[in-house]
Amino acid sequence: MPVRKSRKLIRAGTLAVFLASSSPLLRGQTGQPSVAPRFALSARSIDSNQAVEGWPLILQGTFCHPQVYSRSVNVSPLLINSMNGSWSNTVHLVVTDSSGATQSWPIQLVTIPSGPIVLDAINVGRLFWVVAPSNTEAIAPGTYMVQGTLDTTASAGSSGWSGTTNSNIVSLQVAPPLATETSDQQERQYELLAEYDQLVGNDVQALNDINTLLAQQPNSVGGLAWKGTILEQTGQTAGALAAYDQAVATAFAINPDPRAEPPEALLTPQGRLRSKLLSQSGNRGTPAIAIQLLDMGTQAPGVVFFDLKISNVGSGIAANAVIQQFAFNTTAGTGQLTLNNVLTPLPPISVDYLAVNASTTVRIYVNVPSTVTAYSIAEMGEIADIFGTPTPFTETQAVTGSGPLLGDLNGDGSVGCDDLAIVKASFGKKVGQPGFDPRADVNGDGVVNVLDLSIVARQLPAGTTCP
Amino acid sequence: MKNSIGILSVLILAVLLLAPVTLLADTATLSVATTATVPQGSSFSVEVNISSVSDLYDFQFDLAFNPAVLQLTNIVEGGFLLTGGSTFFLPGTVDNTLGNATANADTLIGAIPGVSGTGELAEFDFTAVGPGISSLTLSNVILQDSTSSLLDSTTAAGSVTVQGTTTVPEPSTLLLLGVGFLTLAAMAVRSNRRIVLV
Repeated sequence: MPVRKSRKLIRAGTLAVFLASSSPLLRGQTGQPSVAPRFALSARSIDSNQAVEGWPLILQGTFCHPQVYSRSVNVSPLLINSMNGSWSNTVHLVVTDSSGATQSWPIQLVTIPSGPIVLDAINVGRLFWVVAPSNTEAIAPGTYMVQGTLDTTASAGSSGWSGTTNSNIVSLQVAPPLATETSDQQERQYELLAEYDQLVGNDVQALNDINTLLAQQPNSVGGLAWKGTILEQTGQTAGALAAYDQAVATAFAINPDPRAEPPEALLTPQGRLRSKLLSQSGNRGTPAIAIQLLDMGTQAPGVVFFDLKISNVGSGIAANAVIQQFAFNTTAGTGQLTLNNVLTPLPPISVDYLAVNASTTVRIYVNVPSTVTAYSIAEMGEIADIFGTPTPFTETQAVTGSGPLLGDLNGDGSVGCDDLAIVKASFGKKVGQPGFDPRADVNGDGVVNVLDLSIVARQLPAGTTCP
Repeated sequence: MKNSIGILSVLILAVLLLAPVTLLADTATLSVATTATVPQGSSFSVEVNISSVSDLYDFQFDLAFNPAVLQLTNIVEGGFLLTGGSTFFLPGTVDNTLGNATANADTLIGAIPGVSGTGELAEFDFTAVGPGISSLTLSNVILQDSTSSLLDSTTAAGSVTVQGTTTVPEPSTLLLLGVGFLTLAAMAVRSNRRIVLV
């Protein structure tokens, strides 16, 4: 036999053996159909094929039967047996650089389902992997390929599908940190951080990420929707609905005529959450409002701030409570009080979704003449139930004097370094955290930061030095 | 009439030309002043600067770094705010595991005007502990003026490259390596010849 012809035969034979050994289509388990599961891999960073150093990287694997969602075919299920307690252990990812060299990225599988999985016309398996922001920083900029493999040959047993199937190859361009970020990139970064923190089980940090974004971009529809999603997943239905309501309102404000593209992705969870709130309350119920004077103090000479605690003391959820107007009445001394319109948000002041017995705090500033020694504050407005039916209210608080001096946190009658020390001791702390001192949260926003520090510092004599 | 139209045109042109400059001047920039390369094991300082700010009374920001590459050892107040009067500086909370210094803050004291212009807000002392690149990014920035109004700002990140320690082969090592490569090359040549013969 000529040498060239024999080589051709050897090549053909090798190809046949390779196909027989590697293609799951030809190696179906006895009693199992000769089909292989499908494994789709995708990446999320700044977009689906570009990652940024210092940003999280999220990889998602989707596993399904080739005839998933099929209605016309009788689908024989594919059983992926578990390995070491989870079917996810039959999957591994390989990263290579542009020269084909294998990389050792610290990829962490964050969803570890227990036991096996059955893939059929309905059931789909999903796995998520992450690379932490601190770890993406260590990845050199360049182009990388990521591919996953599902290999059940060692774990199939007698009942499971046995074979190997590869995912699509994800091409990922890793870029150095962005020198400056556009608002869209900033929004994307915080949304990605929130998703990453949720995947690693840190819902509190995920919410912090989104709140940080919303502090910088209050009209971020994506951020508001993310906030709603996180709050819903953590069981805070009322807060979630409030976030989705705001997202819907913002979306309609941006695009007042959305007939061509209604925000279905927002309207669907909004409706679901509203129904859930109704079912949680059990009956329609009637909300009722109570407003108490929680705290007061002198902001500046002649300007007094009041922290008003607004509570729902009724039997049903309040969809909305609105203070439409304030009224002041001098009861001792002479002179007339007025709302300080520079410092106070102008009425109407609206509070969304107050559950039964829930409360929130609003700060107002009032110009109080020194000749007035006693007075009352009244708030007039409406509280609406979950269907939007309004009930009017008028609440009144009696006040004597002008309260403690602004910045006098320890109540010793003067502002000094010891008051700054109170802020210092709680600096960076949020309400509910160990070490949070409510006296240090001078502006009442729930966090002790430089806004509180500077309020106290302003009241000190210029040139003061404090340790 | 022609003159008045001409003057008006000049005025409009001047307004148009000056408007962007004025708008830009309203936004302060916080930046990390380094793109340095340092050897592993060395200590160095990084300045966080501010530019184009008007009436700055107090500030707060977070700084993030790669803890596998850098470890933060100390934080010192910069000189910019001190030019306005006495201050109260709070160095941030350092986490060398996560790689950040959160809530670095400083405020002037007393009912005095803020500081304008460009200068150093704080200085961060690092030790380079491992080879690699660390970006130095700023976030959660709060700036206020002397009337307690929030000031707009943008941030610019910096980066530090830490070079690992490399071992220079000794001459004898090079000689041994050379002999090894020559032997391998000779074996490869002989092997190729066999294939050709078959």
